[in-house]
Amino acid sequence: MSPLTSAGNPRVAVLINSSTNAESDFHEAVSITATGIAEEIKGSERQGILKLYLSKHPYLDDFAKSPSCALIRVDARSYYMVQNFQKVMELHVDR
Amino acid sequence: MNWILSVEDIDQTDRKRVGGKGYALALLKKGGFAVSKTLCVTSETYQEYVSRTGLRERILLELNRKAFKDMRWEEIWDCATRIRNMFLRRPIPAEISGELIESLSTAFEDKAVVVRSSSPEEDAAASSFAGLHESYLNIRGTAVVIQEIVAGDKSGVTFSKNPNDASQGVIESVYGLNQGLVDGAVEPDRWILDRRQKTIVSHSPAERKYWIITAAFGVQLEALPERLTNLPPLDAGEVRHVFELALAAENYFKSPQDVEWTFRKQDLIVLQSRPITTLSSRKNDDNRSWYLSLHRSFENLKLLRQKIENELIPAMIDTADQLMQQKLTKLSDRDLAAEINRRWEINEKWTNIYWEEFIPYAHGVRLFGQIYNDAMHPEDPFEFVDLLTHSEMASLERNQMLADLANQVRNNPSLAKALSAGQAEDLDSQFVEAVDRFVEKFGDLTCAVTGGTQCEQESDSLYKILLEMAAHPLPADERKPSRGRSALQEKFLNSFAGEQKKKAAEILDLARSSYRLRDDDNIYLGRIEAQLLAAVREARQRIDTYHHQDSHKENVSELIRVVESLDHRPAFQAPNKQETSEGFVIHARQLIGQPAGPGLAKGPARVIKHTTDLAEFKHGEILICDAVDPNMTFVVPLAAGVVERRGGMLIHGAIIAREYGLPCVTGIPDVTTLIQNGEDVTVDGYLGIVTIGSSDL
Repeated sequence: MSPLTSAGNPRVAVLINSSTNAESDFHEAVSITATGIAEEIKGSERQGILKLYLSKHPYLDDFAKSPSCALIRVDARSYYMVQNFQKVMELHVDR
Repeated sequence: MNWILSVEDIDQTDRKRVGGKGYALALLKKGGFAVSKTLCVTSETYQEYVSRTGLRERILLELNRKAFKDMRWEEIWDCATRIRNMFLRRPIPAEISGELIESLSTAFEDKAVVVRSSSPEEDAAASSFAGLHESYLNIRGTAVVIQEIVAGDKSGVTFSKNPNDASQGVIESVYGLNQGLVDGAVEPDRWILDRRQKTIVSHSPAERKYWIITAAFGVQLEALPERLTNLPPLDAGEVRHVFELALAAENYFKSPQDVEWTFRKQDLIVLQSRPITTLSSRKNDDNRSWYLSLHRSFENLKLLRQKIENELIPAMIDTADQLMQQKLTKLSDRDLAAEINRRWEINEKWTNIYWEEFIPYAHGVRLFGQIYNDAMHPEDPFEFVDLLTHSEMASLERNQMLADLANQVRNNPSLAKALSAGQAEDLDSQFVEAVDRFVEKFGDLTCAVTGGTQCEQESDSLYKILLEMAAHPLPADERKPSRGRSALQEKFLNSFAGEQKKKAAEILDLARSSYRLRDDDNIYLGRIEAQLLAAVREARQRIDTYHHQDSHKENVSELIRVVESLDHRPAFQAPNKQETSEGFVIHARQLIGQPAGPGLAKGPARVIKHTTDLAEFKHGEILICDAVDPNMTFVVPLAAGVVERRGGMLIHGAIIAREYGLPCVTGIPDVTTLIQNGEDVTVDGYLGIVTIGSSDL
């Protein structure tokens, strides 16, 4: 059973963050929260995207190919970007 | 840890640690040149200090509030002031200071010293303004050179090779200390020498009037004794001596040198030697260094004040008054065309004076700020502004006149009714006369300065503003003197004694005048420009009237030509558009600027794209604009907060916002396109943050 259907709510947020747990994070780090709709990638599409994923994270080969592991795509609708400690910008996909 | 090194102990491995200046002095000492007693506080000491006190990240946060390339010179100054104050308020940790004090007191006892920075990047051949800031931004740290002051009888600078002629060398020399020559206060004698023959090619004597000598504290400029005024500081033998010194330094360092030296009796002592750097490597379109270089001495600012207060301002008022008295309607078309050209030139002339004289005078405020912070080490580096506010500024006088007019509307319901209905014929004649007097004195509010030459005169916008003001409490009630101002002034003055106290009071007085003028000069300039606009308006009316009358064709063409020639002025602002980028709508959620006026306010945004938008301003709105023009400040009493694109703590908008006690944030790039009319805006004037939109994401 896919984790998405078990949760029953496909709305997700992903945090992308360049902080390094150092003092300099306060002026250097950039943090982006992407919000959007998650869906499991299945069928013929899965093979190609899994290959792409593993080229970035080859050490996750066993994990990603396990039958109990799902590949999830997030269709981002908005990005919330924080930089320079306090500056916050929103980017909304125009559709 | 090597906190401090004597030049004798410095070797090649210490180069970075002691910086360019310190290392060059160590090499000179090793090479047998006469160098006065010198110690170097290493850049590691700096690093350790900024780490232990937590200053490193504080500085970086401050420097990264805004991209350096986007900072105006005022913002660079403000940023430097904040950082300077951070240093003033954080003592050197005892372990470090203990060792420094011990080394320094052993080396120098109670002798006077000269202290100079010695950056690892400085004195490198290609250092430029941008380059210096690059190294500064990266906080590579600095070393400091501390040298015993040599109270020389005569001093100078030698270029072993003339940057303008490779076959020559140049010597400049003054009586007393070198400082006068370096900062331009004392005119030097100058010799050009032939490098090969080591002979004098020419000697240009100076008009010898002053010298700089050591005083009880520091140094001072004094009149040169009579017996020396007709005698060059160097004789032919001494000229040759200092030139040989520079050539020896060039030979030693294997590159042409710029050598500073001094004579103590017969002893020639090297103060510093560095490679000759070519000047003017500065990028031409970056004029910020020019503005920052306008930094003036107290004496210079005092002279400027006399000129501005006694000559320039009265002349500006006279000019505007004379132009105002001229009856434009009585001029022939030809004369009107000539009059427009004349007024254009008058306006140009005063605009130039504004840049050349008034802008540098603004440094009076900055000079005071530095002296205040050095004496008081305040928590808020802009506390000094509290001592400057609430002065009698022209724009406040104008706002008071407006408030009085609004009060008439407030107390007279039938007048308010006639105004709302736009029934000009029903207006009380006394009220109309008062409005006319106001317009005559300050011009039509929506026409002045930023309106360009395209302006329709009508009183509707003024009436709208008066009605809005009348519907709310008197703005004058909101202006309260800041608490503890006199106590603060006393505390500041009492931190000095004797002569210094007197001087501190003088500098405060100068700063108040400088602060007030930052506002007034714009108002007076606005009055002159309003007279140019009045003539253009008259011309436009005639062009419209004559449009269908052939008999006036020739004269009209002259008027049209003159009016059209004025239209090359830059437009007020680009049209409003929401920022987009390849399929995204970008929306600002929270923006950072400079905290230019303390306080917290919330309200709907009123984005000013054109001066005519000002008429729509409603009580309690947040004023969002490119730059608060002095001629726009009449809406400030209606505003709950002020946000502007132009940056700085001492710019006009910030000054006026503080006068009215409004939260103010300045220096947010693109703010008039990032924020839309009517959006909910929260202005945090303590932290310099503007939040846009409601509280849910």
